[in-house]
Amino acid sequence: MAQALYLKYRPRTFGEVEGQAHVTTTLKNALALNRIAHAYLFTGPRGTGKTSTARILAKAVNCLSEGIDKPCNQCAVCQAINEERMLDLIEIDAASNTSVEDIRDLRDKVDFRPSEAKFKVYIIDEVHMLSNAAFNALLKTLEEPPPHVIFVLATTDPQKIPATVISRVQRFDFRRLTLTEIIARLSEIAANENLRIEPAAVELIARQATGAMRDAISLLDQLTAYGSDEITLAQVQGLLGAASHQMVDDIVARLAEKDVAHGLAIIGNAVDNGADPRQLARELVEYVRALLFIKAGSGAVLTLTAEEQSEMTERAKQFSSEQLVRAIRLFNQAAFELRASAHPTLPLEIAFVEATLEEPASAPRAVAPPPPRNVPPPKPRTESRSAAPPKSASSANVAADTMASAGVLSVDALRAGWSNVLARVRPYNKMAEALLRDAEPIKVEDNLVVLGFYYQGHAERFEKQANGKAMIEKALTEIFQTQCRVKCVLSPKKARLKAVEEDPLIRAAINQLGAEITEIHD
Amino acid sequence: MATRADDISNWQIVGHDWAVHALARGLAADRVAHAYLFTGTHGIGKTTLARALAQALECTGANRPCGECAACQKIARNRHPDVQIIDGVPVGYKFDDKTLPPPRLNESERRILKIDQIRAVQHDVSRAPFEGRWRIILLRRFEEANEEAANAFLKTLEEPPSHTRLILTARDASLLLPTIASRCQVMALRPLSLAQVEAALIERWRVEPATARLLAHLSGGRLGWAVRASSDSTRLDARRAYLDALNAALIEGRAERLARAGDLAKETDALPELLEQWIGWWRDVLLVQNGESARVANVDREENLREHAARFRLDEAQGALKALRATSRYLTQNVNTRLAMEVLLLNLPGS
Repeated sequence: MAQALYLKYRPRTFGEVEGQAHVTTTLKNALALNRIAHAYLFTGPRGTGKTSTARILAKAVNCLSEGIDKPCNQCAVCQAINEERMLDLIEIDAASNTSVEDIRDLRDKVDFRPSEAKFKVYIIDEVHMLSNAAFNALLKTLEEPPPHVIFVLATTDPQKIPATVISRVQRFDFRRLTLTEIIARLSEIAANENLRIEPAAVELIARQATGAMRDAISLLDQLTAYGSDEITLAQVQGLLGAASHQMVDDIVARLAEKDVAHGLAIIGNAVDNGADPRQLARELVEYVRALLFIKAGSGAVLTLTAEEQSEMTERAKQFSSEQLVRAIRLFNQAAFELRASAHPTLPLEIAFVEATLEEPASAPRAVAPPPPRNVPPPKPRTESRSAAPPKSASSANVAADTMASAGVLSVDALRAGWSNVLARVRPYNKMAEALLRDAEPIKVEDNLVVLGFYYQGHAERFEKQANGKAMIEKALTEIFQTQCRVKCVLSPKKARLKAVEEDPLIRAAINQLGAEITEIHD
Repeated sequence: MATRADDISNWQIVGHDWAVHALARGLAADRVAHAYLFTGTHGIGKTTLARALAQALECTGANRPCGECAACQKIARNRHPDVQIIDGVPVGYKFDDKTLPPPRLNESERRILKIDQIRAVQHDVSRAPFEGRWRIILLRRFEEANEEAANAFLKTLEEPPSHTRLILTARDASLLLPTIASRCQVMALRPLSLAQVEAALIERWRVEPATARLLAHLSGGRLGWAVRASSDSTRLDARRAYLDALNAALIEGRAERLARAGDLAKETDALPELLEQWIGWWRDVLLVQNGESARVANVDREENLREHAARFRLDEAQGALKALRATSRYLTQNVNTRLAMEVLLLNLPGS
């Protein structure tokens, strides 16, 4: 039985570890200078070379060769490790041995000297699964292990490692591999295995792997089982349930034309012909995202052929950026929902239908200016709050700005300029300003301004404010250039609203049926 | 390269040709991976394919899997000593070696695959096969494995003993730890075409053509679902009741709808199926409204569908779908069932 390719092509030297030069160079230098640390932590996503590097490190520190380039993979120790019969390389699966007993057992054995090699190397894989007690039991050993011991901890989940552990180890972060790196490695393996494979097929495999070398090699392995002369793009698409570029473009074209019936038919046919709905949703996201990039003028980062580039540029012209963003969001959500959906295609179909429709009316662009109504305009809360309170020195400027529009003292002018009035009160008395936010001018008689408060309590407190009333009178006088007096009452509108709200029938409607009071008729 | 592996009729699998081809060629070339992951929605054929692969591996006949030798027969009846099927256990189930967990009640029952079970598997894989060539472990619905169990399985999954083959099934690879999926050869099974399901129901399961057509359309390409529904007439009866209830609710006023919601909410176990049927219904309404009536699922009620498509606006149908999908999400999240159903019924159009 053949060995899985990803095991067969596990890197055996630092040079073979693809894409992690920042780790391997550091380790090689440390080896050359004989400055090996006693504990390392390797973190990074799956399939980026953590366990492989740990094993290479184990070989390198024990390698018997005289040369600089360690590990040699020739000497007795290197070979023993490669054949997995080295007693001094102890690989522990922390996910199956999570308990504190397992660590105590390890601790008891750490002191024994290595049997044949120079160093005993402990590789603790999936270390994030150790229990808290186990981590703590490890701390002392990790800080000062016997001189003949090296620990290598490996994990995909570094945030689960206690800080006390991290501070005792040298941490190396492995990164996702780039598309080019994966393609290079896959081509190398294919050449080695005498496989012929279309370049486009290699690229699709590499894309699918999203930065994890093991996933890429697994996929290649699976394709070798097809046994034909050459691995083609069509075979990879068949295996992945990927739709062709042409089909994805077709669907997006229908989206541009808002041709729902045809679009749904194409999706249905694609699935009938063996496309994976989820894969299709992901491809749509990818494609629309590319359109968005082109639209934004950064199509260069996409590595497209000239032909694709011109075709997609045309397509991008049919959409607005908002439409594209919305389509990405919808298809992305469909891809997410498809993983647990009982009906195999439904989320994708709905996403397509929604993407063809206009923006829902609640979106800010589509909103028409509110029709004039016989109610006061909404109090500009956020506006006046975010505006910096004018300092006394600059308040004259503010007054000058607003005076022109303020004009004659009237209820309408007051309502329109209410935020200005508030802004003027604020520097002197914040409490008064806060109370005034829950009030509105009701009427103006000669120079008497009647303020209606929404709540009785607020009106009373405002009256009690030491200089609240004086402040607003001063502000009004400054704005309207006439002597003003202020009177506080309870807003009749609010009083009526309160009465209505207390009506048991209406309250039941609000609480149980989610009703809302929008207007009150006598 | 036309070898015998190109003929896959002996696998007795409907559809999924690409997957069977890949497995058969791998078998012929002696390149069977140490771990497979079959993914796809419930009833799509994951376990059937896994069982066929186990038969192919253990078969002693000439044309593997022959389906006739003792090994194939034993596997078909879950009696083979070297082929073990691991399934999750009910929440709160006490694991011990002697008693087996009870069979699954329905598809939506929540179960957990526990670390004790994984430890038992780790012990089992280390033993040589008893009478066959391989020791095969089939772990079903691996997405039910809890975090400890999944992590504990990583090392075994990466490098199992050489006489072991592992087969996992799951709803979707993304529901598993990425480190699990990346250690397996993943085969994402896709829905069959409706024609394939219909033909298979008629030819192999001797279902009446009219029923077969309906079941095929309702299945959305899930042959396993269609087969189970064909042998269990209560499913179609239940569907009829659910759709009648929907029809009735759409012409009712608020008070009646609230009463109906209360009644429906009492049957908690039936709700996922009810919502699925209602969602399917509104999908069809949406399709008809958009002039794509060729793809509707509820083929036996086209008249009814057309009527709804005319009665409701496009945005009403969409709103209904949105409300339904939100409700089925809420129901997995421990909400007050009755309240959720009341809100749903009040949100349906037409009142």
